[in-house]
Amino acid sequence: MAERAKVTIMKISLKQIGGNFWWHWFLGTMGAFFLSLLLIEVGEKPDLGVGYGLIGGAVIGLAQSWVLKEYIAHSWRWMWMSVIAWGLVGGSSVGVVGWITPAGEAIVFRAIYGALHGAAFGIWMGVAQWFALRHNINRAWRWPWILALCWSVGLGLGWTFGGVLRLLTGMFLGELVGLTIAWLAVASLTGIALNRLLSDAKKTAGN
Amino acid sequence: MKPKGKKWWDYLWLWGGLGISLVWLWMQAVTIFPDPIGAMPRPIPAASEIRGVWITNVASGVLFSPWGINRALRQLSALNFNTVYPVVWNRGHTFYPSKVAQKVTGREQEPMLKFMRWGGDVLEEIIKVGHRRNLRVIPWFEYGFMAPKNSPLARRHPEWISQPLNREKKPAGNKLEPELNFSQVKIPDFIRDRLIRQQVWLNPFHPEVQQFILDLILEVVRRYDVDGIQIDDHFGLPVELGYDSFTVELYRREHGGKNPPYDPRDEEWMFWRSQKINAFMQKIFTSVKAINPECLISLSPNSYEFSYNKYLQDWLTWVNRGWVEELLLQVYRDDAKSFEAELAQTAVQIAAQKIPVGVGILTGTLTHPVRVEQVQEQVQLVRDRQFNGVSFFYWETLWSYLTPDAPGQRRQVFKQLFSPPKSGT
Repeated sequence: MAERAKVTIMKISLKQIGGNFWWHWFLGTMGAFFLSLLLIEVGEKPDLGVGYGLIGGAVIGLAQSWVLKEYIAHSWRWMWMSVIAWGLVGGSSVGVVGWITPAGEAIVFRAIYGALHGAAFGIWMGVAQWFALRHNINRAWRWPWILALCWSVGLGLGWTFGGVLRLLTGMFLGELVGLTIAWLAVASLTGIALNRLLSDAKKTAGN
Repeated sequence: MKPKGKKWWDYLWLWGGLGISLVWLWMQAVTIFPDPIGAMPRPIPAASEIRGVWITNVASGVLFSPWGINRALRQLSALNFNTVYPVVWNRGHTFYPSKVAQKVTGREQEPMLKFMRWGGDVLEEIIKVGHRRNLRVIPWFEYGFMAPKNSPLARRHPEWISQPLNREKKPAGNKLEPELNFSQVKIPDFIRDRLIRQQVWLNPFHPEVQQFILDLILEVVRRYDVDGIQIDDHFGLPVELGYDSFTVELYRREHGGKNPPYDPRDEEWMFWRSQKINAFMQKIFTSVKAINPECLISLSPNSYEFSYNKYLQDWLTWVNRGWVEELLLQVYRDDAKSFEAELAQTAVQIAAQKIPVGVGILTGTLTHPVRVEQVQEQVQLVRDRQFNGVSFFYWETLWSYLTPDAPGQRRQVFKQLFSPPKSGT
């Protein structure tokens, strides 16, 4: 209880939440994704395993926790949970979501499969990141569901556009553009959601 | 304000995380950055099968990015390739620091390469890393006598440029050659003329041109520990050309004052020009061998009929006279039938009885992606006909985002193609 009260006090003293947060979050996430492309070669599910999941999780998690350190306590936990979660999905049948593309070319299949796959991954990653958020925001259990929605929209869009571009150009590069679209959507939507959650937490803490 | 009095586990989270991340990044880095340099044996020669790839500067970043060479050669070696043909002469520039080029063109090496490599020597790096990884390195003089109209070389030496009879009429392009310059993209002519480089051809009969090309080749052979040198289909002259004043005068001197025929396809006129190129080829062979008898002379032409009729390149004579020691026939076809027809041509069969003959296979260009199944099928056709191997055009389209398939999937296919047969099977 004492620990929890201490964290709440810390929250109040941390930086004011606002529009800047969204920009920092968005640019941090996208910058990390582009940086990750130097280390990870995008491919189909079997091409990327645990190792690449750990690398991807580390790069994205590090950038996001760097942005969050001004807003939540113990933000390094965010990075760790991202590393572990992405590493585990990399070794599972889900694959290193964010850097993998589906094998099929049918556009409708890609949209539906992307949305479902994104939702499943979002829940998983959300639960992991909940460990980092739970003492910092109220009703932190909302985060896995929000993340599921964000990744569902992002991956559905990304895999669909990626498929269309790959068909049009005849190059796998189209998939890379598709994944960039997915990350743009995820970074934007999660930025909006986190902004809201952290604002609510601050208001509650202020009351 | 930052929270005070961090607990020990906060530090564990932080520094433990950073430590493990650094270990992972290091493990990645060893695959990106150079291996420690150590004394390694000389490369194994392409004993049984040529497994090569052309490394070019056009539509490819491999020569320019700091980790490009290491990454490329590591992957090629891991997949049992044994030869690389890195470009050293393209668009009027060298891809190594060249005193010869400096003197003639005013530029030591290609400006973008010089900038990206901080004036370093990419050819030296390719040879060092390639040999360490048991790859033969055979520098490729890709452009031969061709150069962009606006290149420093062409601007400094207009007297070296060969001309058609009607100067308004440009020589027809090589339709068999894979295009990396967007020339298959339909765009209006007035835009194309401004965007796309117009090519000219150096006069292969001009002694100063011959000396320049020979000096470039010999500079590479003298200065670098190369396994050979390669020239290709650009080592010739479009049949429409040869009407410049120097060549006309030379022809007249040797024909009792008679002018060359108006018809560029006149049999004797074609023969006369091709003989001059043959003589220069012989000179290259003897000059290279005088410096390094072990240096292989490799040639990568189009089919013989096309080479001779369009580019006056009489490569079968070169093979018969022993001036070429390895031949890689460019067979950039999509359909299996025409691919097979090229392999069945008489000149190729004759060459195959005298020297190792491999087949150049197209793995794709920017405007023409090629599926890996087609590559697989063509390699099999080459093997079925007992040729001495294959070389792929070009590195960036072996496995990359510019291919139709995922890079990892393509690597798997090449791995299977070049894996040693399992014992007992």
